[in-house]
This record gives sequence, structure tokens and C-alpha cells, in this order.
Amino acid sequence: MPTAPTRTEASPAVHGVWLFVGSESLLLGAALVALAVLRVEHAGAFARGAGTLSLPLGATNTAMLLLSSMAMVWSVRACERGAIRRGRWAALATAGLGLVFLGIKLLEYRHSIEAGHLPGPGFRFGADDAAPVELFFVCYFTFTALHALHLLVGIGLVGWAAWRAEHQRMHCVGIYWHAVDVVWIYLFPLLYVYRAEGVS
Amino acid sequence: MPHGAMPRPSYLAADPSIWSWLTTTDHKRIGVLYLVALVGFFLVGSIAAALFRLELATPEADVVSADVYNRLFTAHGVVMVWFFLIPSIPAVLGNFLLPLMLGADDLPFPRLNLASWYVFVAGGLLSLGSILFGGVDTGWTFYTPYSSTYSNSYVMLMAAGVFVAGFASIFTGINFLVAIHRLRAPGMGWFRMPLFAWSLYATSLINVLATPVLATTLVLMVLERLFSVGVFDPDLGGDPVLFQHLFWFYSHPAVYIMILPGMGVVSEVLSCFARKRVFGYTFIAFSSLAIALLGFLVWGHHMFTTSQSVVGSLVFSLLSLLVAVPSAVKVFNWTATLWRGSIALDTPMLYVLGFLVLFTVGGLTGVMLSVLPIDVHVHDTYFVVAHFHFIMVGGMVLACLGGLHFWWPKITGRMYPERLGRIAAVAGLVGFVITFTPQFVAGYMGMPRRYHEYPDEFALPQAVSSAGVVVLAIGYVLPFGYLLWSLPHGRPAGANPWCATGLEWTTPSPPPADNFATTPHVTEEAYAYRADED
Repeated sequence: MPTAPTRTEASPAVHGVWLFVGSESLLLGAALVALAVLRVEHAGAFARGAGTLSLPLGATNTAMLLLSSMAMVWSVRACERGAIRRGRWAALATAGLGLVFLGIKLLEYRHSIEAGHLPGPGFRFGADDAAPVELFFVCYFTFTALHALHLLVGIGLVGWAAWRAEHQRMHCVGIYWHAVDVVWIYLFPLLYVYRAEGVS
Repeated sequence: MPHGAMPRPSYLAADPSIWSWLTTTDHKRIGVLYLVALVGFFLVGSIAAALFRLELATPEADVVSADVYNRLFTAHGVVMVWFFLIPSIPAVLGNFLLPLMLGADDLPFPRLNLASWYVFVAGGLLSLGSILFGGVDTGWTFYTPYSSTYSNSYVMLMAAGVFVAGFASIFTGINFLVAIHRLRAPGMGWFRMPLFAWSLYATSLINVLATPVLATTLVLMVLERLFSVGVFDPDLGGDPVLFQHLFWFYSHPAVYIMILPGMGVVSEVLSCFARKRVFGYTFIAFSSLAIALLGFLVWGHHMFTTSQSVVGSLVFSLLSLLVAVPSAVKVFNWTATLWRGSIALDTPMLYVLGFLVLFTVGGLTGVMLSVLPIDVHVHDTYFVVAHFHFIMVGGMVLACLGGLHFWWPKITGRMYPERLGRIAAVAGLVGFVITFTPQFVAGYMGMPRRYHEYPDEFALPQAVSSAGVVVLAIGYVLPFGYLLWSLPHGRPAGANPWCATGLEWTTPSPPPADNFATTPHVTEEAYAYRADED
């Protein structure tokens, strides 16, 4: 007789993915603590750096991810009901919206790099307090690039789950996708919203 | 009792090729793979210790330079903490025994389990590489800005090794948590689980939640070192105390990773060799959870002498006093378990009795360290070194050895030679006491840590401490020898040589690859030892 879970609900894999997400959220938590401390230490410089980011583009990206999470939920529900084809399409919509996010992100990166805001020897920001402002951009690029990397992995996972569409697998990928979405929901206000406009 | 038809080959005999071992998903084989790796790391960490104890035997700097000395104690700390103690009982005994104890065929994610071993070995190779290239001189705590700006040693390579190995802990933790939630045999409610499982549950919670914080902290430290990003270096606009907060937020819970599994072993061995159920099962189970929770709230007690606010320090002090309470609850319950028990002094029991005494001393000195005025006096002295070695060596390492001896017949199908076992246990105990007790004295007299030469006033305690290492080494070398010897020559062990309770003892020794012929149904409480038995 095989050793099966005593209840017929979510597979142990779902449990495992939740724990993995919980663990990863502490990776982020530690980084956010560091960001918070640096932000308090260099409040003015960070606000000026944030002022150069495009709030409309950031907000659009946030909307893209929220919509993608909605599509993911549709996909998981469809697979649970056995509507595999609908589940596949919803999953592809999820991945598509994720790709739109990445496209907009690359556009934003181009704007920042053209303005000379990529940290490194070529960094320029005008005023003589450039060093703390450069620190803001280190945070901005590091956090958003790591997020984008996780999103890319997520797009790959969603594509794989769409190919072999099945409820438990979609459920596990869905948990990961929502987690990446929630990370952005933290990053967006922290990096974009607290800002001082009009200085560059 | 398994009966009938064909005897199934043991997990050792089923396909003995190296390839099958390296691609196994059998939790028992993975436990053995971890054991082999850990013995290697323990050897590296011990050699480093032997070398610096040789230097410390006399006040003068006559064996190694200050720089080499710094690299030796750093290597000792890094290897012993991350590549020996943190994995130790969970990765070896936990992997081997947890499914058996729960009545399951394997852990829920067997391939993740194998991945954890490879990730661990990869991290270990990176750190060993760092040591071979010349090592790191920052201490295992990597304090900034020395580690992130000034040190001319292989910090990034060492940090990379620790970073990678951390994920092995997380994977194992996820496997254990889901196993305990989802794979318990029919009839095994939470409060019929062996207490070893409870201790692994609490340990796994800490592994999963604390380790990522270390990962991020190391990444930030390396970013500062590589790109001069001002996170921790005040010259670059950073805050060095931020590093300490982040580092100790992980590293304090980490020390509970390095004791909780040992406490689980104590419960198992004590009840077997006192022929009595563990007194206060529920208290011991919940105390493990309490230690895990409270352990996250006390990190500031490592930072009493930084610029941390006095109010904050007082809060950490109070919480540190509180975290001792669940540990004390365990010690009292274990003592009550012994009371009117039918005690047999076999080797595993000797180790565990030693744990009770030495862990209590270590724990009480921890309570002393929680008190602000005492800590300010002895911070960064040998008093602290003695405190944590009483717990990590006098406690955890003894529990490792005790557990290894207790379950050796199950893992290998062989008995170790009992007389040699007792000699080794006593040698280890005596050697430990000689090595580490004088360090309390030296520390209280004011000798600081991490110095390779020192004034003559500390000569006597240091000399005695170094002499003790010789006896302590016997306690480690002997088991290494006779345990290996027992593999071909030891007396074949039956399924249950100790007449212990627990589902793992209902399987053959060594167990077949798929553990149970039929799924066990549990009808009794744990530790159902009866007075008329045996």
C-alpha cells in the first residue's frame, strides 16, 4: 500500500512551494531592511533619484502584473475544473503580460542609462552629492533586475506548465507567480512613489 | 512484523554501484552521503583547531604568525558552523530516520533531497577552495568594514561557499516540514510522533526562515567588496552595525539549529536507556517550538557593546533570559524521565548523560551572558568561547555521537564494540572538560578572543586547555576507527538490538530500500515502554 496523504486536497508539492516562497520572502525582507536603512540615511538623495523614474510607466507595469495574476488565477481554476484548453490560454495570457512588463522595464532602463544613471564610472547626476544618489540607482537597478530575473524564470515556468497543463502543477506555478507579483507591489512604492521631482 | 515471501534487499545492497549512489533518491543513502561529507569537514575544522590550540599552549607567538592564526580560527569557525554543525543531525540522522519514524516510504521531495546534498557539497568545495588559496582572516562572523573593504583574503570565495550551502539547509527544511505535515502514518497524530521529529520540525522552521537572511547579508557584503557600494562601510556612507544586525538576525537562530536536533536525540536515547516514557512529552514538544520562536527575538544580545540603544539592549536581555526557560523545561523533564527509570549505561546513554550536564553548564553561562553588566565585562573574551563550546561540543557533538551510536545498528546492520564505545565516550567527556573549563576562567580574568599571543597571567588556563585537546581527540579518533571497523567485522545487529520503541526499529537492520512492506498503523503513544518488559 503506498503512503498517501491522509486528505485528498492539495498535493505536498503545493505545501512545499508555499514554504519555498516563505523562505524567499525573508531573502527579500533582509534586503528591504538594508534599503530602508540606506533610505533613512540618505533621504534627500534617494528622493531625487526616484524623481527621475517614470511614475506612469511604473504604474502601468504594476497594472500589467496585477492583470497577469488575475489571468493566473483563471488558469488554475480552469485546470481544476478540467477545462484544460481554457487553462492553457489563460496561462499564456499570464506569460504574455509578464513579457509586456519586461519590455516596459527595458524601456525604463534605456531611459535611465541614456540619462547617465547607470552606476559605475560613467555615472553622472549633476549636483555634487552624486555619491548617495548613485547608491539609490544601485538599489534601483539591483532590486528591479533581480525581480525581472525572477519574472523571466516565472514566464518560463508558466510556459512549461501551460504545455503540460494540469491542476497541481499550475497551482504550484501560480503560487510562485503571485509571490513575484507581490514583490513588485512592495518595490513599486518603495522605489518610485517617494520622490522629489524636478531635479536632475 | 514483516513476514512471508522474499526478503527484500537492504538499501545498502540494492545496486551497490557508485553511479547508483550518486543518483540515489533514497533518503537513507542520502543520509549516508551526508555522513561521509560531514566527517571530512569535521576533520578539516579539527585540524585547524589543533593548530591554533598548539599556538595557544604558550603565551608567546611561537607556532604561527598572527595572520595565519586569524585564518586558522576563521576556517575552524566557518567549517564547524556551516559545514558540520548546521547540517549534522538533520542531514544525517534526520534524513535517514524521519521517514522511518513517521512510517513513510521516503521524504515528500526525494529529488530535492539529492539536490540538497549536491548543493551542500558545491558550497563546501567553494569554501575549501578559499581555505586552500590561503583562507580568510575576518573570523567566521565576517564583520564589516574589515571583510567588505580592508581584508586581503579570499572573502568572496568563502562567502560564496556559505551562500550556496545555505540553500541545502533550506531544501532539507522544506522536505522535513512537509513530511511531518503530510506523511505521518495512519494513527500517528502530531502528539504520537517521536520527539526527535518535533525537534526536526522546529529546526526546519528556523532553517527555512533564517537562512535566507544570511544569504542576503553575504550578498550585500560581497557587493560592497566588489563594487564599493556603501552599505556597511562608513567611509562609503554605510553602517557597520547594520551588518551585525542582519548577520545576527540569522546567526542567533542558527545556534538553535545547532542544538534542537541534539535535544531530539536526547529524548530518544534517554527514554530507551531508562526504559521509561519521556516525562512531559507535550512540554518538550512545545518547548522546541518556543525555542525556535524566541530564538528569532534575541539577536541583539550579540551586540550589547555596539552603539545599540540601552533600552533595546535591555529588551534583548529580557528576551534572552526568557529563551532559556524552554531549554530548562527540557532539562527538568529529562531528569524526571530518569527518575525511577531502569538505567543502563550503554555508550549512547553515556553521551546523552554527558549532554545533560554539559549543556546545563553551557546554558547557565548563557543566562549569565544575557545579563548586561556581565556581558559587557566578558564580551569578546574566552568566557563566551567556553559558553558556546559547552553547548555546541558538550551538547550537540555529544548528541551527534550518541545518536550515531544509537542508530548505527539500524543504519549499518552492525553493532559497534560496546567497551571501546564507553571508553571513547568517557575520553571525550573528560577531554572536553579539561579543554573548555579553563577557558571560562581565562575569559573571566579578561583574556580576549582571537589573539595568538597573550600575557603570562593567562598561561595556566591556556596550557591546560591545550592539553585537554589531546584527550578530546581520543574521543573522536576512537569512534572513527571502531565504527569503520564494525562495518565488516561488527556483530550483526537484529532489527531492534536496544528493544526500543519507534517505527524505525520495526524494520530490518539495515532497512530495505522502500522501508515498510505494509504501511504501519500506529495505535500506541510514543515511548510505550512498560515496566515489566525487558
